[in-house]
Amino acid sequence: MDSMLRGLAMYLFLLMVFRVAGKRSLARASSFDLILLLMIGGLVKDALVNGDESLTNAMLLVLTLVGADALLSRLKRRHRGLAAWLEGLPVVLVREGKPVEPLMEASRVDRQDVLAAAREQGLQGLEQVRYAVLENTGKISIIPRS
Amino acid sequence: MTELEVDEDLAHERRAWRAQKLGWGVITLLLTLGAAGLLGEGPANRRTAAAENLSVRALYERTLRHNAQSELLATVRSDAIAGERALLTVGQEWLSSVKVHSVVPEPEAVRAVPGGMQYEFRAAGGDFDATFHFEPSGFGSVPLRLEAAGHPPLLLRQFILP
Repeated sequence: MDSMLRGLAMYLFLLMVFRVAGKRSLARASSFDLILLLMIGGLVKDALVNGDESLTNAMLLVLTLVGADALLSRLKRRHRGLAAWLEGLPVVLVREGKPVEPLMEASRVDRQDVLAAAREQGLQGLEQVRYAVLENTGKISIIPRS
Repeated sequence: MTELEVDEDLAHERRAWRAQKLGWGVITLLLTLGAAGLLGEGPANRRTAAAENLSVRALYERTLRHNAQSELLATVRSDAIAGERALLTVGQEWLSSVKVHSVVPEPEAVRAVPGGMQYEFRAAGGDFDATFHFEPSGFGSVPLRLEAAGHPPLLLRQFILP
């Protein structure tokens, strides 16, 4: 029971921390982001396991985390407001080639991030971008001008 | 040209950004408290306290962390030591909330007395120091009572974080 409560508490804590950190945190999957994720994983593991390295404890923890995630997914599908708070909503950062600076600043996305996403689509500059959308996942989707 | 079909809600997003700023405020506060040692560990967390007639003194951590090692240094003043025997009673409530791994120096005897356990040490002369190495196993505020035999007790509180 103790480990299940620990698992739930840590799940909710990480959910809040990453939501506060913003969509763009860890979205780039840079080598440093990867190191940070590995370090967080290691730290969380010790707190979750709490000295009980039995198979039963590990299985219970996995079930707790997967169960919490499934329950939250259901809740998010039923309550759109909850989903918006937990995951955020897409934000249009560029319209018809023009960056919407206040939204970019608030989302902590700079021009270079949008240009990098545009280059991945084979585009050379912002004037070729019709829309750039910051998705809930932190990725930037590019819709080119036709 | 069709308009972009996207679930954008800037009013919500602005509320979310305000909440994020608030969240960063909380994170900053926690980091500051942690750096100041108020969430366990660190010099700012160490306290000393003494019984009213100074028969027992304690150097302890005000805030502890669940399952993290800690120490309690209890000093029995020389005039509270009868002969070569220092008798120190530790309250039961505290003992029920921690796992005592070792006591240095090792007591000659440990016996149950009303309200706690009495540790009997051989004292060589002068003030006597005993260090309790322990690990908190409970949560929340825990009363700690230390008492030299026949003297008023030292009462203090420690707080155990999850």
